[in-house]
Amino acid sequence: MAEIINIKGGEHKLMLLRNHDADMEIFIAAGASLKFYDLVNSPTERSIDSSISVTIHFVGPGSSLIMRGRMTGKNDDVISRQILIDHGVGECKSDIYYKCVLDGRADAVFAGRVFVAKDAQKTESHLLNRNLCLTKAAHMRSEPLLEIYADDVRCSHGSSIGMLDPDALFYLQQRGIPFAEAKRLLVDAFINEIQMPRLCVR
Amino acid sequence: MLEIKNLHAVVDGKEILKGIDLTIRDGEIHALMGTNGAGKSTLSNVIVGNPRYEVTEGTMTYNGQDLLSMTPDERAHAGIFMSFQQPVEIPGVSMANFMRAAVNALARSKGVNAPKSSDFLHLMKSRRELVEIDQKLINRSVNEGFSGGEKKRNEIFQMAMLEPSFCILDETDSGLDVDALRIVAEGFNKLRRPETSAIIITHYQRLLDYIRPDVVHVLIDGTIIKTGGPELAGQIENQGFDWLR
Repeated sequence: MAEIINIKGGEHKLMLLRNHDADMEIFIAAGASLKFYDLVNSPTERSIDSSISVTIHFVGPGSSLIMRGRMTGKNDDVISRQILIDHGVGECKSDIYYKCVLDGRADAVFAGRVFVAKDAQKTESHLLNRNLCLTKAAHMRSEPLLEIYADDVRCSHGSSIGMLDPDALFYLQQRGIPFAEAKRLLVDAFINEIQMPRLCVR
Repeated sequence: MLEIKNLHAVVDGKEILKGIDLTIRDGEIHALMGTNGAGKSTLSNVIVGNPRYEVTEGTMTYNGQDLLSMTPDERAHAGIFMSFQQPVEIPGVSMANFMRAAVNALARSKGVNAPKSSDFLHLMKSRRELVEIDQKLINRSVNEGFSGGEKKRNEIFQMAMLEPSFCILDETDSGLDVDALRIVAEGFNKLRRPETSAIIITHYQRLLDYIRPDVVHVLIDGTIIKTGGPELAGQIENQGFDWLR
């Protein structure tokens, strides 16, 4: 059973801290704004399976969604995000940005789909997913998707998967910073672009 | 003292250094000149241990320590510093955090305590003033959005922070206007101690007017084909390399 959440009027924050499976369906009413934070911190001692499906429906005009995901996986972690943003009505904004760092043999999927209905004019939506794989055995699949049926919209989507920049690593080491510390500096620099609210940081 | 004997190195399977012999005693400044692609940057990168370059033959020691068996950070701790020809931009890592990590790592390698925050900030300020680099640049991420000249000045700022005993200036003068060149060169001279030695890679006499070399080498096609005094740099500037071949 999916968990159903209704967001009505004013500003709301939702924080997802669960390292396990969940399905959520969220309805954002007219004029409401939602900040949705999604944090996965892999524990060191065991592997996790965090598969979450989130569907967010805009059901009234003038509402907005900011969605931020910060995930780190290692060992044999499995992380999966299936996100559907349903712009069923116009004049709403959504901004989705997920970053993921994978170490060990971690395996992650980010599937983000923005649907803009035929009558949802003046929709603005930006979908971005950037990922860093620290090992050759880590595996990332990124599928950003825009499905637009309206004609007066501003939408963008993008994704990248990369490894640590060897030139940056070497530059730090030449200044005397040991390899492991240099690596940590670069990983932190990558993931810290996504800031979680204080409450979330464990 | 840096001692290099019969050094061969390959990059991407291609041999770039074909038997380099070079001895640089403490306090000596050596200029390294040569055509593009001759192997000057390869030699610098091999000295500091860049993993892109593979040493296939020869030996390399600094003050008796075998450099080839040391990691890049260990070579840095031994006192070797390279001013990069193309400094790397590192978004998200602040100059302050970068320098703090480098200064602390150096202190750890010497077995002394890391400087207190207030001392560290004072050091940053005094060294920043020495190379006349703007506080605004130091507040940014490493080299991010710096102009070419600002990047070169930032290299000398880092040198000032770490006080190396052996400096490699790999085309530090390229991309610098006359004033910036003077500031960078004067910064280097102020930091220089009697025992500081250096390799200066340049295409121009200009930088060598500020930092007088004791010895000038000409590197062509992976070998040093001529070694002379400071006057050699002037001859090359006037006549090019063809008369040496």
